[in-house]
Amino acid sequence: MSVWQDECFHAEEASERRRHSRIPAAGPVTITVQDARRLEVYGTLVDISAGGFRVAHRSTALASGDTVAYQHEDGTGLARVVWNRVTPETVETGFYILSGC
Amino acid sequence: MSNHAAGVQAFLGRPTVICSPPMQRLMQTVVRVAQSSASVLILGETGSGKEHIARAIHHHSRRCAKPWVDLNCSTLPEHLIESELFGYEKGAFSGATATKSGLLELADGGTIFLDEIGELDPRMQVKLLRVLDGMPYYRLGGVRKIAVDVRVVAATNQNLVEFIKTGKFRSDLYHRLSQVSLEVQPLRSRREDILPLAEFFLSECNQEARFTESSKQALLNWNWPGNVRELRNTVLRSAILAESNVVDVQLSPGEAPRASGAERPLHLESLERQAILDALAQTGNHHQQAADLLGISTRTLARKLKLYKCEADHVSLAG
Repeated sequence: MSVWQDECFHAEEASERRRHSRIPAAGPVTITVQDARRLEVYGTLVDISAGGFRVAHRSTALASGDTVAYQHEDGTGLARVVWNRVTPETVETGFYILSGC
Repeated sequence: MSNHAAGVQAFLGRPTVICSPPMQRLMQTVVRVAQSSASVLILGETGSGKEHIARAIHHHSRRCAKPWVDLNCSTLPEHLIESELFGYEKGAFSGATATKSGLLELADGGTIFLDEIGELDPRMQVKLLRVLDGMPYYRLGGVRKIAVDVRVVAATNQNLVEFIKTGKFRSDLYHRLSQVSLEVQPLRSRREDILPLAEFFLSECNQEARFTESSKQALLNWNWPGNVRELRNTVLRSAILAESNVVDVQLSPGEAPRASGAERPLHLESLERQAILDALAQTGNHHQQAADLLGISTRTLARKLKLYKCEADHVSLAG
């Protein structure tokens, strides 16, 4: 079982903990916003935790609160945009996993 | 679209349509406010474009080359907000195998935008107030004080003054956040923006597309309780369904424009309640889909369901 799947497998148990630690991760991720825009964002996985994950990309179109579908070689599902960090060089977005493995 | 292009500005890559006098006045204020270091509280209905205004403040400020961080305070369980905002040290809790910087640190030198600030739990309100007062803080499990230089811009669609009366929001934090208070008018109060916005969203889908005249009238006649977000979703849905470059706006049954007259419910809450009931009826009482249709979060939907006492039985009847 991959790290991602392992984390998702234990997501329910881990959600009982007060906090989630992050584990470095990698690989391409496709994010599709679940509204009429069907906007697709391509990025790179930075790290994962039991409850969420972080992606580096170049788009400034994601808004905190957006529901998205994510696709990674080790997992797919639905997530919600929690935060964005935009600098002149890059964009990072934190996601909270709603469902899926 | 070209006749409206002058009204489109991009802030952090987010195009913003500014045509109506209220929005032009607001942007003039934004430019002035951006030059200061004051905290800003942005008020406005859901979907009205509060984040665009916050991004504009960062864009026009001296911090524009520094990080912009936005956090929606309603998207995380309360117990996770703390570690996201303040970070944690290795060993702070079971499984904390490495130190993690919080969003406040990641925003150092720049701007942090806290959306739906009214959802922040009281304990976090205290910690945030200290940061706003310039006091250093500790990461979770940390012993080293962290000092950050961050401008805070917050937003809410809720009545924080009422929240203060009920003890849900701290008055000191409210006054600290609202050194400058800006209000984004709902779309129905700035109708000059409706068609430019609609044409902008349409051009994003298809540069060649245009609306029928009846569609333009329908767009102008609707009250847009979900504001710009609802308009965007309506236009994109219509563009997707269009069989040619001439787009006939597909208003959902619950969105049918109502002509002015005695039958038209003018009470805002009645309009909003009916829109919610219609959305729930259309989606078979699926809250996520209904929220998406309305252009609001599921949490906002849940709050409004409670407020308007929209129970499932009502939905069935309405459908």
